[in-house]
Amino acid sequence: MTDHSKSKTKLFLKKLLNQRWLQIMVIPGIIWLVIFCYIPMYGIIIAFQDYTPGNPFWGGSFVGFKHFIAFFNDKYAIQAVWNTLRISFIKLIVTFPAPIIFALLLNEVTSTRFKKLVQSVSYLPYFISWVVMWGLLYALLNINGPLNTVLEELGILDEHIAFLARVDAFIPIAVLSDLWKGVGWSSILYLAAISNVPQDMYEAAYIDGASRLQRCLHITLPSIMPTVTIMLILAVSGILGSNFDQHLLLQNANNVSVARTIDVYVYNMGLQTGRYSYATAVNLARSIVSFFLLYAADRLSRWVSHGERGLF
Amino acid sequence: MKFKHTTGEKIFDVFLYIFLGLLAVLFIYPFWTVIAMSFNSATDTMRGGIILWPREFTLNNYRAVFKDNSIFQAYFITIARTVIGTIGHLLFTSALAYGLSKKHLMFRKTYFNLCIITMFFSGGMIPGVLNIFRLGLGNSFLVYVVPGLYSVYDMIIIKSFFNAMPQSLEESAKIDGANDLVIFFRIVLPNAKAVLATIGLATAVGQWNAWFDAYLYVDNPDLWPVQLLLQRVIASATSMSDAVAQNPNITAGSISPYSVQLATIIVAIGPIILIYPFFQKYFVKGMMIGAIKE
Amino acid sequence: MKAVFRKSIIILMSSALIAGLAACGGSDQDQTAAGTESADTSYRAVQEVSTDWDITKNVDESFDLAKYIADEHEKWYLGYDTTLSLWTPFAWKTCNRSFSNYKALKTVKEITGVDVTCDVALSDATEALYLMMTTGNWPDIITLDGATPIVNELIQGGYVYSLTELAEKYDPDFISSLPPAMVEAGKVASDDTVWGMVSDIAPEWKYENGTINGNLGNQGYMVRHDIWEALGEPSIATPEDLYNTLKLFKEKYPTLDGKNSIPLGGYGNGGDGTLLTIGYSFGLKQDISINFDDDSVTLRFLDPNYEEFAVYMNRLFREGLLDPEFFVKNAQQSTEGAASNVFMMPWVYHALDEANMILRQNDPDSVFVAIEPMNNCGSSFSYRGSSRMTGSSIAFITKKCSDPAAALRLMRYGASPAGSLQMYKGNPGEHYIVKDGVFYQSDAVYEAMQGGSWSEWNLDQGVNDFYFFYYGSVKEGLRTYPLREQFDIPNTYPYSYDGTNELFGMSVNTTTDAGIAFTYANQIGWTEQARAITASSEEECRQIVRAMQEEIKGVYNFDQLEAFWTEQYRSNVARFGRGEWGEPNPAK
Repeated sequence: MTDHSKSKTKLFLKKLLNQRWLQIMVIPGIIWLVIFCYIPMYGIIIAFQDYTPGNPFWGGSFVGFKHFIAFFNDKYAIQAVWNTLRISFIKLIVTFPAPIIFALLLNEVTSTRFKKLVQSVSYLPYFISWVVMWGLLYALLNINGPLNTVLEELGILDEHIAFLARVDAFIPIAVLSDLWKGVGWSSILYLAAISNVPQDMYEAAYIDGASRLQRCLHITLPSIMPTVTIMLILAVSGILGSNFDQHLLLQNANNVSVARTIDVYVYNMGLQTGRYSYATAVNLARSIVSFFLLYAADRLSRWVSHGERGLF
Repeated sequence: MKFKHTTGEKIFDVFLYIFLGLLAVLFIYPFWTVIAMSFNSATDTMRGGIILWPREFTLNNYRAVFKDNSIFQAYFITIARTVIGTIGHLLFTSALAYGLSKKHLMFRKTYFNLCIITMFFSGGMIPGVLNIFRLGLGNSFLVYVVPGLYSVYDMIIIKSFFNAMPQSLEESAKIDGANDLVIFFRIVLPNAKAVLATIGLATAVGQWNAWFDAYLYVDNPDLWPVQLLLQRVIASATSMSDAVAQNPNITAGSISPYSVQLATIIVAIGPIILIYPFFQKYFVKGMMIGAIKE
Repeated sequence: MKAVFRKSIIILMSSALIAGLAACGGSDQDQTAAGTESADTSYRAVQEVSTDWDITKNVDESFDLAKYIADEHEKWYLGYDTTLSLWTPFAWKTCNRSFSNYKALKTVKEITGVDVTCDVALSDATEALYLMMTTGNWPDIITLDGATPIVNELIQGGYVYSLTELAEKYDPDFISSLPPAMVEAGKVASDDTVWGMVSDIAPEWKYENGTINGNLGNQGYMVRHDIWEALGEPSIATPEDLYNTLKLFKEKYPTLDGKNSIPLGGYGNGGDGTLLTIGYSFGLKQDISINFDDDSVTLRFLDPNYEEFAVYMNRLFREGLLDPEFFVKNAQQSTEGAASNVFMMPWVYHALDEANMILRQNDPDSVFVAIEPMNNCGSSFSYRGSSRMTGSSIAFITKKCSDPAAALRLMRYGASPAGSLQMYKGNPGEHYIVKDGVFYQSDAVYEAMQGGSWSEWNLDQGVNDFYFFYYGSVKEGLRTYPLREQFDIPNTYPYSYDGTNELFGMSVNTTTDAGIAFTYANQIGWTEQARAITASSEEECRQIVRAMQEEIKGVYNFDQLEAFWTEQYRSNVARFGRGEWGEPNPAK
């Protein structure tokens, strides 16, 4: 060993010693990741095996790409992928900006009491499980339900419509009910971000004669942009993990050609029937698609912000 | 400072209040009907049409819920896992975020990549479940806490918050000889209340509502949380048709009615909703970062 | 001060984490509960005690329960107190807690020393059992619908004990103490071993004059009695009659209870639903189709009558006679409809108990009753729904059972004439009486059933729930269901037949090639069936059905599925006999 490398090692150790507290804060997290994420990740190996419940961990016989081939030969599986992408994109377009707008609107309310009231009730639907939500949706939208009655009274409809049985009504119902349930809850993070915008910036802008709209667009919005970017990237990466409970419950034999999503399909064809290898294979295929989506979102966000705001 | 509004802005205000008021009604509605139905006679609820008020008021649904003594033990477990799980999650995840927010951290790139990869790939459900059992976490309270100590998503949100924080205070503390741990606890965490409250709320709600882990990993009824009891009530009603079709000897009435399910829901989620306003004050007042001047 | 506090928190949390990780690093732990070897020393065999109690003959209200329990305890007590866990996919509210919470079931514990905590599945039975296999987390006893495909996997995978084997070890008289029909039905693996306890097998007294009185025919055509009368009690001997009756109803009652009326209600969300009942009238069966010329079996959707069935349903749909939300509704929602604007529901009669209760609040005559089903596709016989005569549920003792001896004792007691009544029907004198060998529910039970407060009443009684080992040794009087008695509702019985030979062992293991083919083929069938029935013209409907049948035939490994079914069916015919098609199959 040369003196040079010795001193390099020494320097390295000294540096490490200097930041020992920092390392102690980080290392447990990395150990945790290895145990709870990386070891199960190795378990993906069962996607290439014929693993049946009761086999030891990683204990099936290797079958190569059998389960992936089965997946691509299954017309309903392919349909499920497209459906998932379609529903998720529409949901993203509608439900992603909604909480931001909601938070901005709330921020414009001057009466603290009213603001607090609206905000406090906005998160309530989040706590109602989809099973109950489905009961309520059914009560509202069924063929004899209040919506049909109202539309008939207003002269919009000639005869009652079974909304829940219509293929074309599935996406609007899924998206709007998602919005209803989640908008208040998702706005919490943006409200927190808005609350951190320094008050004196508004005061300075007001003195300079900026209108409310201008203050909103030029101060509030740019201030919460970092949060928005991160949330967007997270939303895009989670795009394929669409809402399982909702789709399972809203799906019926009438709308299934649109409503069949990957999660539900895998649940029906994989877990419910004990085909764990197949379920794992589909999960892997899904991970790969969502990887590309996330990568694209990151590129896009860097490009838009001229390289300032990316995830990595 | 009070801002004066122009006429146009005042008209906007009127519409804003009406719009938000309507939204508020829409948000309350599902909750309200659930409460109304939970106070309505079980058989009467079946006829449908309960919109605002109970038609046949009764407390029997709640009586049925509380008849089961195990609900109090379950509450204890739920509260314990919510408190311990949330504090642990905040502490460990923000420590990781703080470390990774420091540019001079050695192996930072490696650590960070290790985190990011888990966002793209996961073993999926089956390997995950097997892993927990292999670790010997089955049937123990730790299974509610340890697998939830970290979340890469939350870490990134907290980290971006730390990155946006002014460095001046930390630097002056460093000059005074404080180590990273002290800085983290004395300066960084107190200034990150807004983001911690937000993440903490989401974690607490997640912990409060969790039942699937208990269902998978825990046999011992003494360790069951409230939400698992709730799921049992709901499951027993949804599989009603099977049970009834299989056995001509059971009466449909022996299955827990819809109203009792709804009463159980209110009992199960009520407390967490009541806690919410206490979290709320942390992020509506806009008090934190503005106070630290460059 | 604050800093010290914070520091101690982080030290605490870190040590918790480290302890957790250390625990994780440990070797795989054996999940089995602690052995009960020590308890075995006090194990007591069933004692032959001669007592005056013969509760199968006469029990009246003045029954001395305390004395009875003491004497029965002498006979059945295990020698020590223990608790077993029992898992069930049948979701009955009262099963959620342990025996000691219920008046009737507590007696079982006092007599045998065995307490049971019930664990009701949160998900589908098959799904939950696969998870148990994966994780190794088993309860002591599992109970299943006997037709669950996973039964064979449980046995082949070595997850459950053979009762014959356990009996040799712990209780040599066990098998001989069971009713012979139960022993026979418990041999589910085509060997001579009793694997499980099968409940609710039709006992001898149910066969009278060659017909079966009870247990059969859950599925039937239920109509609103008041409206049916007002329509002149039209007969529905043919599909055409049914069509005309529905049409007549729709003309006379465009609205009912303030809503648009629904001539034919039901539910088709997620599975067979009520389509199954109508399918029977077209000669269709559940899952399968049998060619009686060569005893070959194929999928239900390929049945020669299937197309006619779909076209018929499509016609009802197009003319507004079938509920437009038929495929949207689940069981609960369709029951709600039954309580208000539905005329006819093809379904199991007891599922409408609650709807009846609500309807009768307005008009005592407004109630769903069963009517004679239509004849099959214009021929002279009415093809009916079938039932397995080999019982409803099956109970196994798992290999992870903490105390097989106690489980065996519980089963033996539960299958004995007195034990059956105790577990399922409650305390003698209190919950039931027996007059000259005929069983009747007591006034308290009768009133709770009639009064509509059954579920609340039964919360601490535990009656009519625990039937997993039940064998009806005592003839049941008709008092059980007052409404059914009054309106002749149980009369769906004559319209059904014993289909043991077409149901036994026919469930295909979903992880095998045949099983995967079944899952896919069924998926195609269910998806296209709904499209066919809701098609806009007969032409389109036929096209969809034909395309669907072609597609199903092309499913990978579909021939393996057919081969599996055909082989199983032929061996069933050899074992259970043929029975006349559509006629009850007399007891084996």
